[in-house]
Amino acid sequence: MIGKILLVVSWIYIFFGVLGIFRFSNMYSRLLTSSKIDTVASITVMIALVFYTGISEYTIKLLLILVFLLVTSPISNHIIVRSAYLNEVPVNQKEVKGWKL
Amino acid sequence: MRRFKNNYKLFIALMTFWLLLNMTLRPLNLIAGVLICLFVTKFSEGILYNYRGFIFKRINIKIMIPYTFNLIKEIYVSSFSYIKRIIKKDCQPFITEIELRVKDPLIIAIISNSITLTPGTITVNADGNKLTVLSLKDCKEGPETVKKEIRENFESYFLKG
Repeated sequence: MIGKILLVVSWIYIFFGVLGIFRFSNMYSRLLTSSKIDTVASITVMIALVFYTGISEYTIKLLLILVFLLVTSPISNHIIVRSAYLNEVPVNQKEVKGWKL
Repeated sequence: MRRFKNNYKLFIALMTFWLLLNMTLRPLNLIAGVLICLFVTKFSEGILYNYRGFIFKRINIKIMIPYTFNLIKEIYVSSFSYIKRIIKKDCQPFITEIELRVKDPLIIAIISNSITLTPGTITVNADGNKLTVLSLKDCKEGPETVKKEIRENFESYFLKG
């Protein structure tokens, strides 16, 4: 039951993440929103699956993957934002160039 | 061989991770695991360890356990406020610089990772103990609130220890 509830919660996070990517027109806002899906939704899915499978060998695997995600997932977001920042993409840019919003 | 003797701890840690993820002792799986772990251990030289052993100091587990729980709490609290921000769309991102009091590079990396994990903030750059943070939080209150939150929620744990 808890697993199912958490899976629904993760879908809500994914839904709002995708909605945010379309709603925000600034590139940095979009990156911040996509990183939210990366972290919160994936962590919730993992915790949901831990509850869903119960105590078994998969629990250890899922917890290991969760730790791995917590350590590695910020790196990709960090690199994307850093490259945008170093390429002097303005933070207060209203629209992403070349995107029909 | 001498180098490997210095770094067997990393190899054992990686191999344990591999075995726990695979949960099988098939020969092919073991050979693949040993090769990959040796490869990673070899290329971690100078990054994770040198001839004396690990470069980084070990972090107290008594600090890391409450820190991890607090981090997960912060991730969820921030995610709710971020959903509100998506619905209202009342904010523009801003960049702020924060100078941490901690000096250990590993702790600075942990804090930077935690900032990026928290919805609404991403660490853009780290220059020594000075972090550049991109934020979409508390636009009305400005960067001071973000700095205060980082100091109270993340840095304070390592200053206590």
